[in-house]
Amino acid sequence: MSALYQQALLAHHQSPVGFNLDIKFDSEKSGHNPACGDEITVKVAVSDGVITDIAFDGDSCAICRASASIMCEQLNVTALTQAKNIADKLVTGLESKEDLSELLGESYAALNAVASFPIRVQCAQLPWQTFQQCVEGLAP
Amino acid sequence: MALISRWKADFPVFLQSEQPLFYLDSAASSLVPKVVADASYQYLINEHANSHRGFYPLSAKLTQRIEDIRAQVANFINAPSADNIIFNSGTTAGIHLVAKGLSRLKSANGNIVVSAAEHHANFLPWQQITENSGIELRIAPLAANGQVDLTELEALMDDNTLIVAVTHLSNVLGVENPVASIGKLTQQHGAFLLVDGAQYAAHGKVDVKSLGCDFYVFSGHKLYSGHGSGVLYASDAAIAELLPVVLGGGMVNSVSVSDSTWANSVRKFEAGTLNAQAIIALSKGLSYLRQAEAEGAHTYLAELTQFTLDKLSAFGGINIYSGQQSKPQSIISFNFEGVHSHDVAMILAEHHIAVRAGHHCAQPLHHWLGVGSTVRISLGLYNQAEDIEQLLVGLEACRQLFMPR
Repeated sequence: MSALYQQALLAHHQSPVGFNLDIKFDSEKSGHNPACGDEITVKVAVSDGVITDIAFDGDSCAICRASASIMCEQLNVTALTQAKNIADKLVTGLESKEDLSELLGESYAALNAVASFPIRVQCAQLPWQTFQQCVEGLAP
Repeated sequence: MALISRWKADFPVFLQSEQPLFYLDSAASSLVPKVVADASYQYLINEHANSHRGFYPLSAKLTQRIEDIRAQVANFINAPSADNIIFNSGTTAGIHLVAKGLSRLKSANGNIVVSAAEHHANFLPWQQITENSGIELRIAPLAANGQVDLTELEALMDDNTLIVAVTHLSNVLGVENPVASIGKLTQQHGAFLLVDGAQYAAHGKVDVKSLGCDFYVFSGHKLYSGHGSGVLYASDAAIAELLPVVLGGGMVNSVSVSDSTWANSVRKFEAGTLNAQAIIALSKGLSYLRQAEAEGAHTYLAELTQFTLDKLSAFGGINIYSGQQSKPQSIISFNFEGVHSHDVAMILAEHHIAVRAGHHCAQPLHHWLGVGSTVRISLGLYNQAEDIEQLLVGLEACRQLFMPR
C-alpha cells in the first residue's frame, strides 16, 4: 500500500460524495491550483443558515477529489457558521500538520497522510479554500 | 537488441544514491556527468576570477577561455562566427533579450506569429509585447501529427510579420517542427525567425545556417552541463537590429553623465559578470554530448524511444500524446485513463522513478490536446531498457491502486 494513498482516501476517490451532482445552488465558485493544475468547482445551497446541498466537479487529482468528497460528506446539512469553522480549521490544520482526527474527528483521518507530502497539501486544501470563497458572501 | 547505456557509468549520481534512481526527466534538466562536475570543481578551486576585466593572468586566461568557448558553441550549432553567440542564463533569458530588445518590435503595427505548441517561455514574452500595442499576436495551429501546420502558418504570415517564434522540438509531444521550411517562409516575408532549441539541442545536430533562422536559443542544463548557462545565437542581420536590454558593467564602449555608447560586439548583450563556472561546464557538456553522438547516441535514443512507445502501447489504458504518425524524439507524454497525472507521478516516485506531471509550462498546447495535464517521460544518455521496465512496474502499481479488479 502506498504511504499517501491510504485505503480510506482511495475509497473517497473511487466513490466520491457530491461529485458531478446537478444541484440547485445559491453560490458557485471555481478554484484552481496553478502549481499542479487541479481544477474544482464547488456549489452550495443554503436555507435558513444551514447548508442543504453541496456538490463539486472538475478535473483534479485523487487527493483533491477525496478531500472534496470528505468535505461534501461532512458539511452537508450543517450550519453555515459551523461549516466555515470546520473549513478554517482544516485548511490551517493541513498547513501546520496537525492530527486532523483529533482536531475535527475520525472522518478526516484519511487526509492525515497528506501532511507528509508538502507539495500535495495544496491539493487537499483546494476544495476547502474554494468552499470558503464560495460561501463568503452568503448570510449566516 | 540490448538497450543498455554505454554512458550511464559516466554519471556518479547512479553510484552514490542510497535509493535506486530511474531518471526519466531529462527534458526538465539532464543529469551531469563526472567530467562536467570535475571541470566545475577545477574551475572553482584553480581558475576562478572575474573575466573580461582583470589585467592579471588569472582573469586574462579566463577571458581567453570564455572566448574560446564562444567559438566552440558557434561550431556546435554551425554559426558563422563566435560574434553571433551571446551567453546568458538560459533559454528564457535569451528569448527575453530578443522580445524586449528587437527594434522592429517597438513599431506601432505588424504581427508576431507563434505556434500553439510553445513553452510559456516562448509564448508569454510575445503575448506581453502585443498587449496594449498595435502589434497582433497570431497563433499558428498544429496539424494532426503535432507539427506546426505549415499551410496555416503560411496563411497567417504577411509582409507585416515581424517575427515568427517556434520550438524546434516540442517539450510535450517530442515532435520536431519543419523549421527549415518555416525559415523559407520568414525569408520570403522579410520576417525574423526565432527557434526555441531548448529540447532539440540535446537530440539532434543543430545547423543554424541550413535552418535559415535569425535566432536560436538553448540552455546548458538540458545538455548535461548543470544549471546557469544559456546561449542566444543571433544572425548578423538580427544583431544589427538588437538593442541591449540589460545594462551595466562590461557592455559599454564609454559612459558619461550625458551619453553612453555600447560595446561594438556581442558583449553589449552580456551586462554584468558572466557566469564563467556555468560556461565552462557548458563547454564540457557540449564536448561530452558530441563524443556521445559520435558513439551512436542519436540512434540509441531513437531505439529506446521506440522501445518505450511499444511498451506503453502494449500496456493498455495509456493515451499517448505525440501526434498521429509522428516519431517523437526522447519525449513522450501520456495519461493513464482514469488517473490524474499527479497521482501517476506520485506512485512512480514511490518506485524511484522521476517523471514530470502537469502542463509542462505549455498550457495552450494542453488546450489543443484537450487535457489539463499529462505525465511526461523524457530520455537521456543514461537511460536504458531497465528504466522502462521499472516504469511499467510503477504503472502496474497505479493500476492496482486506482483500478482494483
